[in-house]
Amino acid sequence: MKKPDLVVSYAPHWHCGSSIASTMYGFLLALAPAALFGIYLYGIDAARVIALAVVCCVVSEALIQRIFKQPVTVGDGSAVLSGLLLALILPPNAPFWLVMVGSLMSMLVGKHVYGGLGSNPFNAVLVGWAILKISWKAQMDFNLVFAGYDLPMVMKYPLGVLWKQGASGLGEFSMFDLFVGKEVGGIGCSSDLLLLLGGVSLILMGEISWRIPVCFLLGIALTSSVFWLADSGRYASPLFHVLAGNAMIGAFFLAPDYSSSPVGKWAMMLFGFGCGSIAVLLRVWSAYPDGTFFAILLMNIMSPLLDMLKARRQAHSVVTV
Amino acid sequence: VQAVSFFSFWAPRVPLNEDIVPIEEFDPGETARLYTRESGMGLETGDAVKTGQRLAPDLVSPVTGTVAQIEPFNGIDGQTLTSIALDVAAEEEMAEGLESVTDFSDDARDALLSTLSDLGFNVNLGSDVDAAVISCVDTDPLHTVNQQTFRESANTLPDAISLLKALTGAKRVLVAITRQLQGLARRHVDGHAEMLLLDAFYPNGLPEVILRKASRKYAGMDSGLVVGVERLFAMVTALKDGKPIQDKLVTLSVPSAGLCKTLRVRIGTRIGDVLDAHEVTLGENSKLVTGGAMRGIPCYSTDFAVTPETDSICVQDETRVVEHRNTPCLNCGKCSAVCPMDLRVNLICRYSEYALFDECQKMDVDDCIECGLCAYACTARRPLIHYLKLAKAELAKKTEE
Repeated sequence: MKKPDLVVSYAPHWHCGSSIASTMYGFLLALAPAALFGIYLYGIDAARVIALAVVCCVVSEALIQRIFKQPVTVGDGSAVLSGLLLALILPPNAPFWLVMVGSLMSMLVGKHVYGGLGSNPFNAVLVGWAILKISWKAQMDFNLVFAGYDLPMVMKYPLGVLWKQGASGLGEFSMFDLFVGKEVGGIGCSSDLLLLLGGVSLILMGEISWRIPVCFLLGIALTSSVFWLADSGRYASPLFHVLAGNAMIGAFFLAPDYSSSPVGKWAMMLFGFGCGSIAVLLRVWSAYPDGTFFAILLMNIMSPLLDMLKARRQAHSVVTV
Repeated sequence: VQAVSFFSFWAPRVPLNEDIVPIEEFDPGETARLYTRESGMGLETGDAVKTGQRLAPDLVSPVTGTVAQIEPFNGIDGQTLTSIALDVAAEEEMAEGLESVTDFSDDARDALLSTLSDLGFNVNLGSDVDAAVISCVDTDPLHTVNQQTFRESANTLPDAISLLKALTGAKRVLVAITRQLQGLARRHVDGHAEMLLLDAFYPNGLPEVILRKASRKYAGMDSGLVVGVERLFAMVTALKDGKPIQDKLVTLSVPSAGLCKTLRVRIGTRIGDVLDAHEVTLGENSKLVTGGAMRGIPCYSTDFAVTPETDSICVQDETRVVEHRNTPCLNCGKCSAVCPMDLRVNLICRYSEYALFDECQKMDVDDCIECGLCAYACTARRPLIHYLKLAKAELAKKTEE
């Protein structure tokens, strides 16, 4: 009788069961509430942007991989996630060409010129977003794009008001409204509550570490308190800074992007804190009302440096009998 | 029994087996196969061998019988060994000169060491250590031998503590124990040792991890010795009876058949015989692993025999065999998060992948204990342990030159 062929692959002989696809679907699931809330707020407009961005990202990734003669990996869901994330930070009435250019740039300049998933030094979604933001100011300006909408809330972009008028102009915004989602901005950036829920579930599922988001928000709160304590008439409160604009989606979904953020424990904390602090500095001093995403892109450059931080105890000499 | 954790707090945790799995005697067959690193021991086919007779510098016969075959043999991990097959006689005959020792006091160290060597325990104590640890925690999520030994013969603990104190001269003896068995240990420790409480999760039973935890609890602890409770209790019993090491506790785990047993198996028993007795058949593309799910070594044949180091035998059917892939690293950082030695596994493995071994050295790759948790948690299912072993082997080669 022939003996069966045994597999002799090396240890470990167990695996926790996760895969790239399951991880990406976890992220998608965590983002779903915020995306649905965006569709609820802005209706078909938002649904159109989301669908277009997702399709464009998937198609452009497949095309790029075909052209670069790489195995096509759109099935792993990472392009879907990029598309969804890009859509959630765009205005609901973004023209179709803007969405298409953004998706293509994210996939090409943000991701695949560096070698694809896991190799991009910058957050791919934010690279696409930054190109749009710098190239088409009018279409990306949250102070202008909501002119055609009439929703049951203050139809002004809170950070735009802060940028123009200082903290004295913020009287009409209630912190609770900002938290639950009565706030204009990117499609998925309105409801901090739902983003927080998604982000916390990602931490509980073990997909991201708590270190980056927590230190990100801490960085925002501490840096803005410095300004606020110096002149509370001119600068907004830390709570406002944490709740307004892109802080929440940045902290939980964009800053912890795997390949552009560090992995060391202290490195992650410094990275998060740096993102938060720079975000507030840019909000106060830059030409853009919300500098959160630029702060993340800036800290992405620091990520390899931070990962060189080394703080660990040396191993002990061990004897076994 | 494959642990899949979705709702984990950042790191997937692998629980150890804490079930009561009573020790069962395994009926030994009529042959025994022993391995030695030495060759040409002056032994020939047909020679009669007594129980306790020294066959090679590192081998004492656990049985009485006649030599049936001597052949060179490639061990599971590729080492060059000599295999000695014995036909076991019905009547056991003890070799002369074996004596029992019951004096475990500190001055008896030399006598204890030489007797242990005569009884087949290759004890290598190395230099002096700050602490000696008796580990009642198993070294793999599949293993039950340590916890079950302690459960069934905890009253051997005082003798074991004395023996360990005498052998090592360590000022501090610790008993590493899980919460579940803490009460049992406390009743028998009797103030002669301190308790080191560990969570019942892998890799808390590995010597390096135990010492790391111990050094966090006790300041000034730089070196230590860890011995599994099963092996130490076997030493105590052998010394008291004046009988050589004859059998080994082995956990038999066949998840597809729902089988998990702790067996007392005679050393030299063919693994295939153990499987046959439990009606386990190996299908095409299944995997036979000895030594655990996380660090075990796969066997290419069922003809391997149980050695004094075999802690478990596990059979995985085709559906459970883990497939590693050569996808690029995602940098998700789960490998570094689970690493018990706090290594930057994500960086080390990428350096190793691109043959930048000096960078691996800067990242302390030599401290890796190959626990396997990184590859267990890897999202991209990369063969991380291969990369780590490659870096270590290449660095070792370099040092030799």
